[in-house]
Amino acid sequence: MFYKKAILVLLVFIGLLSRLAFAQEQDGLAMMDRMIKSFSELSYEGVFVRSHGSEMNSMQIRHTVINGIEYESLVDLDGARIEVIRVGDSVICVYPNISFSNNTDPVIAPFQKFRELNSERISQGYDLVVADQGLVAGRRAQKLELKPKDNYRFPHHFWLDVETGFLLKHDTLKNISEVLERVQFTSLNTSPNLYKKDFVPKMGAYTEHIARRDHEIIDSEWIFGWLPPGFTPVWDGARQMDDKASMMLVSDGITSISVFTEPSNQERSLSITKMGATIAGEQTHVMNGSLYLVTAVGEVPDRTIRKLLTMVVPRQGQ
Amino acid sequence: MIKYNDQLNESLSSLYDGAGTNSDIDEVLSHDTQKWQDKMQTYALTSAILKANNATDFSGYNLVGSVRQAIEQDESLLDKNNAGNVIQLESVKQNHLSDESSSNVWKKSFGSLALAASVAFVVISGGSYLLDGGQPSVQPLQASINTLPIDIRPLQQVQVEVGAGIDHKRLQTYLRQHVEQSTMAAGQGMLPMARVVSYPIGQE
Repeated sequence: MFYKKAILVLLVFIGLLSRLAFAQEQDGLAMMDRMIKSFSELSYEGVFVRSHGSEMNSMQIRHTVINGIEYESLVDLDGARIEVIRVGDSVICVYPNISFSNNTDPVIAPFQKFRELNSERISQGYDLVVADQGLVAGRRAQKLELKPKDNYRFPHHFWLDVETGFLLKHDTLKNISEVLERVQFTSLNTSPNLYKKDFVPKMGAYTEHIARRDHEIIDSEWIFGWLPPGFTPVWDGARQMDDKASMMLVSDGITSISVFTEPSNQERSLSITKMGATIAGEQTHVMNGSLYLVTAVGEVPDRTIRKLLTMVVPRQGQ
Repeated sequence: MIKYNDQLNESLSSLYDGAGTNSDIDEVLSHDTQKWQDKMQTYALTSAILKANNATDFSGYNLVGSVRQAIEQDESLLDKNNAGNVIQLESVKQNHLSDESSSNVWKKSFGSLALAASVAFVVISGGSYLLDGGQPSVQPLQASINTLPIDIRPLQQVQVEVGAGIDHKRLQTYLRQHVEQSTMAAGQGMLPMARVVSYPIGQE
């Protein structure tokens, strides 16, 4: 009799824990959804700092919607004050002068926004925990922790503005206490008086209008023999980057991995390159007797890149 | 309240002395910009004067040097078993002002990095260095309400340690493409684009 009661209590306890975890996940997903919407619907003007290692950069970002059209700009505050202005689908790049522009690579910049949350993918990869509240940039912020369910992705901590849902701070962590990359607003105004004239390049600056160029979608000659749980292709097939290279992209709803393939004339063993939270790896594969260089880039642990590189395989019949 | 301000001042001072810790950064960034802009202006002005007097001492703003050191130490332990095929880009520091040849590399490199091929805007550390012929310049302090009151710039540039078989030009292109496309999937507006600034510099 005693054992039956104990088991019953245990089952009730487990049930309560499950309900609590489910509620946390639903709350967390709702917060993520609100954050994503805020980036395209909210008017905001602020300065944020991005740091990783000893690198630190500050940038000003502005966004508003006028007559249903999005106006957005991003200015580098530390260097040559290059600015990019986006009005709807049109992108204008503002350089200090024409000589600076001539020294840069040509720009091809369609910029589209991700507007919908894929809660299923996120839930497969992360446990969401609504943590404590605090202050970021003088604003009340709710902390949301995304704890990876496996070791193929990094933990993420988000601090979201209680009032608007906007992202005030984002840490990408290597482990529970070590920050790989931090993006944090130092000031934010969510009621800015922004007009069309605020998104017009300054007099004397050299501007280039960036034409939209869609990469050709092709049937990929390569497929993924394995992907971490929750990661799925963002688009079908591959994008032809130039006459040689093609690109595939997978995402778990929080982070992404790009995989590039191109013919190679020499065999290369696995190489891993690290830049803050971004890891790049490359190695050659053989398809139909020819060498191909496969490069994977993503904000994931290097073990993920290593494993993925070995699991990108030629499509059957190649 | 006095204790509260003292803690903020102490953290600001530590960061400017290059002795700041992660908790110092957290301490400073947890306050509204308005609360510490005056103090930061004072520190920035002091640093600017020192920089003008001694141009070779350009690497004095190690804001998070101790954090970096800790990360590097950990990384080196982690990668001990993979030393042959892992390239740690952030592990090499240099005083680029004392090396004319490397400064030429930087000029070329920043030029090529200045714009992400498909992202359109970029965010270059050291852009002013490129424009003024390789000489460090003292930037005027920015006092706009909507911007940070100081000109924060990374003074320890990332130098690429060229690894065998790595084509950095190709890698740059791929990194930029990754930033552009992954931004679409991140749902954080333009924020992820800030990564481009820290990507490796090509060497030709």
